[in-house]
Amino acid sequence: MASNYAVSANQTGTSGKPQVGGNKFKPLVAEKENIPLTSPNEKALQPTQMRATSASAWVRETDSVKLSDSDKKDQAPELQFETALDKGIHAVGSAVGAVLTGAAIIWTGETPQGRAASQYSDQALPSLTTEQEEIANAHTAAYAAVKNAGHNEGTKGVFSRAYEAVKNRVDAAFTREHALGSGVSHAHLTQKIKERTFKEQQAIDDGILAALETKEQLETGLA
Amino acid sequence: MAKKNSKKSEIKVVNELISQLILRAEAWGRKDYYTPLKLEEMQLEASQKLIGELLSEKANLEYELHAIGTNKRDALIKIERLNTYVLRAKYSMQKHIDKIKAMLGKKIGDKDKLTVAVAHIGKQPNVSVMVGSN
Repeated sequence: MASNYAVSANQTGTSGKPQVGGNKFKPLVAEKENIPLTSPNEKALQPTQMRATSASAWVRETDSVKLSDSDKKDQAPELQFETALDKGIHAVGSAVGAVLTGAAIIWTGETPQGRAASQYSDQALPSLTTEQEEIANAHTAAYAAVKNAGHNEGTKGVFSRAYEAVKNRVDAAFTREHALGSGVSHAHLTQKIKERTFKEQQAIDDGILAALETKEQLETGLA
Repeated sequence: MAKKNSKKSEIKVVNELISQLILRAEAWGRKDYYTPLKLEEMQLEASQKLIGELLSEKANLEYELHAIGTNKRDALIKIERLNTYVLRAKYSMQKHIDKIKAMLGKKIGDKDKLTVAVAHIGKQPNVSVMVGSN
């Protein structure tokens, strides 16, 4: 009985084109010969039976494979199987995609942190006018000046006065309110400050590395 | 003696520079990022880089030694000096490795207890998530 359903790759359908696989051809064969889709001796292949291989077992466990009750009622057993199979393939595809993405990260050495840093510059924002750009840049520069002078905060004397001078200048001209008042958006300022922060952190990292290299050379007797 | 003192003071200046840079990093939101372990690892990297550069220089000098029309004596002297520097750099690198190991060892605590714990964890039965066929 089962051999009636088997359709080889060389057989043609109604369009005359060769069709591959038995499932697509089954209804046609059944219609012509008035054969019931499921023979009394054969049980229809249910989604719960997709556990022959380890992959299908894993797929069956995922939510994406589970059919809703309405799906189960409306569909013939073969279609139920095909839907489950499609969903299963989709789930496996997603899992493989995730693995490949992981592999690509390892291969390129691109870390999530690195990607996050690059996102600052990729973020699409409406362009600013030249004047707004200048104000935003001035605000960022002032912010950086305060941050860089910040480590002397609390100290007495020259450093303290220098910090105060920078802070006063910032307060006077380049406050956040001033920048926002000129039409520069909050997102623009945040993006610029994030970019600047990342650059400063990189520069500090490079500086420390260079200092350590010099120290190493001094200790070795090279410098 | 004077040379040794000047070297010491230079190292002092470099250390001060590093501490200032660490303070700046904290101001830029990297608090507790440059731990002693991290700095030691960075210095180990610097040491490895230095050894690489020295070995590359040595290879160049050896090439020069075998080339025609070069001062062999000079090249040999330079190679000898370089060998000394390489040895010192390797010694320094080993010191950094030992320091890192000691720092990590402090975090790990008692090594014997750790070995017992690892062996205990290793004996745990593996739980399979595979669903067998009915």
